[in-house]
Amino acid sequence: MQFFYDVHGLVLASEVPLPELELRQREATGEPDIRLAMGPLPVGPRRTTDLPYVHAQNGQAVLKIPGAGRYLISGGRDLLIEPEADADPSYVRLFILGSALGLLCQQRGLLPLHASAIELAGQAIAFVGDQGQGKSTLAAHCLAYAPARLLADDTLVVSFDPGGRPLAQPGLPSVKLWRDALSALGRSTDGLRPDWLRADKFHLPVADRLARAAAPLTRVYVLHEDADAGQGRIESMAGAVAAAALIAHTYRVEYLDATEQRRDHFVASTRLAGRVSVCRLKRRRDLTGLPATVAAIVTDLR
Amino acid sequence: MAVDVSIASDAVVVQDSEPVVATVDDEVVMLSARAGAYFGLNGVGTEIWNMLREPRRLSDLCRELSQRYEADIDTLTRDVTLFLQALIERGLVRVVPPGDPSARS
Repeated sequence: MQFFYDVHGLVLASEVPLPELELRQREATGEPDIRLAMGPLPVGPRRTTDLPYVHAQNGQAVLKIPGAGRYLISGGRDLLIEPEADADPSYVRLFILGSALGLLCQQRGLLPLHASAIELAGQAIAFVGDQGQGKSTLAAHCLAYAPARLLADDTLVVSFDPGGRPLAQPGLPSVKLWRDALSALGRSTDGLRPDWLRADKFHLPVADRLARAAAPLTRVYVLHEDADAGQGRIESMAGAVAAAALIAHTYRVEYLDATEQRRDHFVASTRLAGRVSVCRLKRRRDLTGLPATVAAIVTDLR
Repeated sequence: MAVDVSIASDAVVVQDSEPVVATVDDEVVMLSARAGAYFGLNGVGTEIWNMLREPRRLSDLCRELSQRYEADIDTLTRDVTLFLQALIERGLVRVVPPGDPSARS
């Protein structure tokens, strides 16, 4: 039995169900882009990298996650997972859908950003920023206060069409939010799935507001907390500064040497910097002001 | 370890071929695997970098820049020399040895 899913613009065929994703409506024709299997790992790459939990060699990488298991990612196509004996399956899946898939996308030469993204009027808008700057919260508020649809939360995979235009690919169909951000949206935490790593963070499913097709990525906002900036001061970034922001906010940027993608990633991220408008979005940290921030973004996009 | 990177005004300098170079909004951005770092140049830095595609004598480079910007040659030479020393220290630009055929510019 195989389960088929669409994620990051790729068709994933899995031996095990992945309830965090939506099942594909019809079986894929031809070879899937990604094949996921469970089982004992063969003797894999032994070369250790700068990261103690990543081993990589010749297009293969192994992630070792204590409490979850070992993940072998090969050739941008195959995922083989050997869970620890008593590991909780949803904890194992957390790293399949996060780190392992991110590493696989890097192996394929895609550009995964640590970003949340929405689609608004046919264009993709991405939010990047350091931990706690409110990427997911802002994306969720865009869904609540603007006619936007969710493209991705936490990991946004960017590819380029044959004309070199950057495309934002649809990712996981839910948004991770802190309890206080949920109450600002008028949602309670009842019935929502808690996020494993952060006990007070919850997955808000947004099945009715999902963008299911890739959209051209036109704008990247770098979120920046600034007590004096009000609800949204937007400043344009360019050149090396814009490129540096995209490099710094790459998903699992620390894997680039293990995946031997440092050079290709540099080419892709500088290419993206030249093709999108990168802006700093400064705002005061204040959940009640988020509708005004959304309004500032909508105005900025006009 | 201190590296002596002082450059004489008759030294011939050229872009090193090691870094991967991209241009974003008319600014040069570089990845040097050897240095293990990314570098970005501003507008004038990018202009100087582009003038070093072919080997060039430092004094010739400064004369051309001082004409272009109508700047005092001594001040400009000092600033450009410091800038090039920074690039040489990071392995982005190299001094062509006098015996090298490409040094005859």
